[in-house]
Amino acid sequence: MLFLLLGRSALAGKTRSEDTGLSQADLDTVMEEVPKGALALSASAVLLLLCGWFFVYFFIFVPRGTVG
Amino acid sequence: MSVESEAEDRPWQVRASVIVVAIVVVAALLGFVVLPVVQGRSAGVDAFSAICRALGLQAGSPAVRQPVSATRAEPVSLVAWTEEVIARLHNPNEENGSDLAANICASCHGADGVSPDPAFPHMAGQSAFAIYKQLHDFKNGARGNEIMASVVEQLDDEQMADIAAHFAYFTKGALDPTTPVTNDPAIVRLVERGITARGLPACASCHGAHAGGPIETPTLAGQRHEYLAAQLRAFAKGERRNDIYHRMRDIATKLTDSEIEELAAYYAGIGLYQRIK
Amino acid sequence: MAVSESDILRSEVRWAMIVGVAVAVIFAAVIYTGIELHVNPPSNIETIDPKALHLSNEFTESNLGTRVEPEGRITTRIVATQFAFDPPCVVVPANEPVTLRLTTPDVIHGILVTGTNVNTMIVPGYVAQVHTVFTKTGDLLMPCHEYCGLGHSQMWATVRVVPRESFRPDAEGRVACD
Ligand SMILES: [Cu+2]
Repeated sequence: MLFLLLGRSALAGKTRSEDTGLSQADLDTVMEEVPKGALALSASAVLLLLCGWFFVYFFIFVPRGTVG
Repeated sequence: MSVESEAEDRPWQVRASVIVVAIVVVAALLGFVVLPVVQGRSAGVDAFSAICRALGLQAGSPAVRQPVSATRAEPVSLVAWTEEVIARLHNPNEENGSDLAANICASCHGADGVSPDPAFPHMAGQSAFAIYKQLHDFKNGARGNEIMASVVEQLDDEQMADIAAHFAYFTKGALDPTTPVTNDPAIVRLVERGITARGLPACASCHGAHAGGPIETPTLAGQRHEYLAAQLRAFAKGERRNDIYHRMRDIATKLTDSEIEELAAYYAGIGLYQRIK
Repeated sequence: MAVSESDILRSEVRWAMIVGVAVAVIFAAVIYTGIELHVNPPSNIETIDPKALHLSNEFTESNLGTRVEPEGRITTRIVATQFAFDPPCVVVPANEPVTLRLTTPDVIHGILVTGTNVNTMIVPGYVAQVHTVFTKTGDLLMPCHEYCGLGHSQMWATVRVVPRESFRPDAEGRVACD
C-alpha cells in the first residue's frame, strides 16, 4: 500500500521522488514487484474462500440431512 | 487515462455484460428447467409440473411427490373468525344485547355482569370475542355444560354476538392487571415472564391487556377464583377441550395443583371487582 | 511507466476467468447434489384459509403429529400458534425421508430444527413444507425463530428422532411422543 502511494505520487509529479531520494529505476522495480504480492494475497484469499464454501457444503450442509 | 487504453478495454464493456447475462440465463435454465425436469423424472413428476413447482406456480417440490391427506375434520370448536362475525361484534344491536342479557344471563351472572355466586364467572368487562366463542361452543357441544347448553339453545349467532358485546362494553377499560394480591415471586414470574424450560409462556403474553394473543383469549383480571381453578383443572384433565390447538390443555397439564390455586388467586385478586363496585 | 494499461487489462481478464471457474465449480457441486441427493430450496406455494384452519380436514387437531400415510410416506403435521406448537413433541425415524408440513392460524412464526438443515418460516395463509432425512437420533430442539408476540421465547417443541426399529406406527399409522 505504501509503495503504491509512493508510486502514484511519483507519477503525478517528479519533485516528490527527489524528496524521498528514490530514482525512477527504483520505482520501476517496485511497480514490477507489487502486483506479484497483490496477486499472491488475493489468489490465496479467493482459494481459501472457495475451500471454505466446499468445506461447509460437503462436511456440514450435506451430512445434516438434505432438504427439498 | 491515455487514448489507446480506452480503446483497449472498450470491447470488454460489451463482453463482460454478455458474460454476466449468460451466467444468469444458464443459472435460470439449470435451476428452473434442467434440474427440476431431471429431479421430477426420478420422483415421478411430469416435466411441466416439475418446472411449475420450481417456479413456485404449483405446490410442492419437483424432487418429491406431494403428500395427500385423507383424514376428515374433527374440529374442537366450530367458531371461525370470519369478517361477518367480527363486524357483528364491533357493531352489535345494543338494545337487543341488553334485553337478552337481562332476561337470560342476569339471574346467574348478575345484572351488571358481576356474578353473585362463586361458581359462576363474572361477565362484566370480558372480551366480546371470548364470550361469543364460549356461547357458540356451549350451543354446539364443543364445551360441555348442561345449564349453559339449555340457555343458549334458543340463541342464534347474532343474538350471541349482541350479548357478548353487551357485557364487553359494559365496564370497558377497567381491566388493567396492575394490582396483584399474590406476592409469591414464582407465580408473579409465571404470569409476567413464563418459564422457558417448561415451555410455559407468560399468562400475560395472551391474557394481559392488549397482549396480542389469539383473538378469543378471555381477560382473567378479577375473575372468580373458584371458576378459574376449576377451568384450569378441567383443561388439565381433558374434560374441557374447546381450546383450539391445545393452547390451554398443553399449558394446564404442565401446571402443578398449587400453581393452579395460586394463579387463580392471583387473577381473582386483580382490580376489576372492586373497581366496578 | 512500468505498468501499461494493457498489462492491467490482461490481469483483469485473468481474474475474471478465475471468478468464472469458481462460479462453475460451485454450479457443478449444486447440480451434483441436486441430482444425486434431490436437494432443492424448500419453497412451497400452497394456500390455506387461516381463519378456518381448525375446521380443515388436514390440519384438524386429531391429524397433527407424525403419520405413516397409506402409500408409505411419512408425514409430520404441526400447527404453530401463539405461543406453542401443536403437538409439542413429534417422533420421526432416522435415515428415512420425512415430510414436515406446517402452518399457522394467527401470525408469522418460523422454525428450525437444531443440528439439521430444516429451517422455514410459517406464514398465515400458507403451508410451509420441508422434505428431509434426519441423520442423527435424539431429541432435537425446534424453537420458534420468528418473533410472534410476547410469549415467543417460550415457544419451542421437540423433534424426537428414533432408530427405524423403534419407530412403531399404530393401526392408523400414527406415532406420538410419550
Ligand atoms: Cu412463534
